[in-house]
Amino acid sequence: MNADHHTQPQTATPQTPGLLRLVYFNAFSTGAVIMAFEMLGSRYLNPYFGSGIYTWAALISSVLAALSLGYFVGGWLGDRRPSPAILGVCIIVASAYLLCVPLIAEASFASIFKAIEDPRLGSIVAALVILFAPLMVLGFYSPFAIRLVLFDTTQSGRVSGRIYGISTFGSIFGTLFTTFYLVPTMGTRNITYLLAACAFLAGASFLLAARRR
Amino acid sequence: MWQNLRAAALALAMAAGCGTNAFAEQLERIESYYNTIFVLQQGTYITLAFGHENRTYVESQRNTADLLELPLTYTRSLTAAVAYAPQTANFLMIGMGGGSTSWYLHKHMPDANVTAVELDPDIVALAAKYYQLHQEPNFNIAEGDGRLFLMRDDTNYDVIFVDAYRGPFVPFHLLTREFYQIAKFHLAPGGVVAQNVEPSTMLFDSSHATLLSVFDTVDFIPAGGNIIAVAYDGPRRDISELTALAQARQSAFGFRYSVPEMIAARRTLAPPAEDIVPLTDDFAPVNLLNSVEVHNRKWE
Repeated sequence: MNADHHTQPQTATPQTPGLLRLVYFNAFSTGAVIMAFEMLGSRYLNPYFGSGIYTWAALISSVLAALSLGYFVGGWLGDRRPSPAILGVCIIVASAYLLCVPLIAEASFASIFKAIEDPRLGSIVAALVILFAPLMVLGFYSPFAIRLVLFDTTQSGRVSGRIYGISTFGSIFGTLFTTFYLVPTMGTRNITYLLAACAFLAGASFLLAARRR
Repeated sequence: MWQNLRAAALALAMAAGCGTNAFAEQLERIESYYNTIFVLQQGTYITLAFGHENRTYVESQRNTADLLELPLTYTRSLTAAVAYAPQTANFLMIGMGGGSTSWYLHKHMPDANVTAVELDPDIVALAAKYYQLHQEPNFNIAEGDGRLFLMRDDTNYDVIFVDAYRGPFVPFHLLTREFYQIAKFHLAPGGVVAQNVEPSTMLFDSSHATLLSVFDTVDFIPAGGNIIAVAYDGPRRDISELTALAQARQSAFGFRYSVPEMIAARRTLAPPAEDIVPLTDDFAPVNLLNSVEVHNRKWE
């Protein structure tokens, strides 16, 4: 691939308005899923590791660690394979992991609880087990999406600003909607399945968009 | 009598107060790991209260001149559970707070092993500082989450008391079916779980339904606004059998607050309506239920 930073970045194919809208829309939905799942993480962790401030520290740091690595990898992958289909497949993989989280949590938390006596360390390990993989992959989104729709460096500020802005707005929505509506209305497992479904739809929409092109 | 009235007035003033109040002097305000704790004094009474959303909630109140007094009614009513237990070897208190009930039980039943679990290390320190609460033979203090404590513990208890509040809320993982299953696993034969519950919200019905999803029977002891739910397996204990055991315990241990009187006030309720679902680790909208007030005809 062309690694010359002085030339104008090129998308694999020029972006269409449809793809642009899809990228912005999914910035919102993946942003919402990330924070919704972080809020939900506390419901998974509390029964095994207590409801102290350290469970929140474990959750927040695990999410940030996942996103941090996701940004690096997503940026690298976007440059190597700037295709909506690749991004779509990644998001679908994340959604598949989310779908398995209720099973994974049940199977692993009891053994983490037994193996690690300190609930602070235990909650970090547990948070990493359920959160790290799917949110790392969802973290690919922003840098990858910028690479997909940016064709003119004179707009790079605006485009990346919009994607991060919309994604963060989605995160606000995900946080509040999960806390004030979903948790009081449906179970933790069902909310997890709902989030997996949202992520799946986001991923599938990129696959469809790639086929159309 | 006057002491009780004064304590009630103090509790009322603080329940309505906003961190400070006209009657009590604030000795300390501590930002702990888990709570904002106000230490309030009026005469020889010292209260530990938690701040939550611009209000304070009394968590513990003790008379420093008479540490066996239980100024708060529900802390007395909790002790009614000793009339349910066939043995009095091991007692566990989840949510020690200032330790009033656990210390009272320990001092009246010195041969029993009393363990009190408290999440907040600052509460443990304040209880030591102001109430001289300390470990001694047959009285143990454990720091940590009550559910986690039980999961690592291998003792069987005759009564597991549950009085863990953070301000107005009980942490959700201490109200679910899975929690009661863990508690039940740690009961000695004939043992009971006694929980302090709040009757004016939907959470009361949900807690009742949840207890009934794990235990065969739930009795209720009125506790001055609050209610003590006593949950156990087997058919409902006959009142005459309970009264006889209460009287035996009363004469054996000389409790200051009459256990037979509390047992005489026992209430039973029909199971909650079928649309009240038990709370589980998966679904326990505790904060929501706690805020939905119901007119509880069954109780009134």
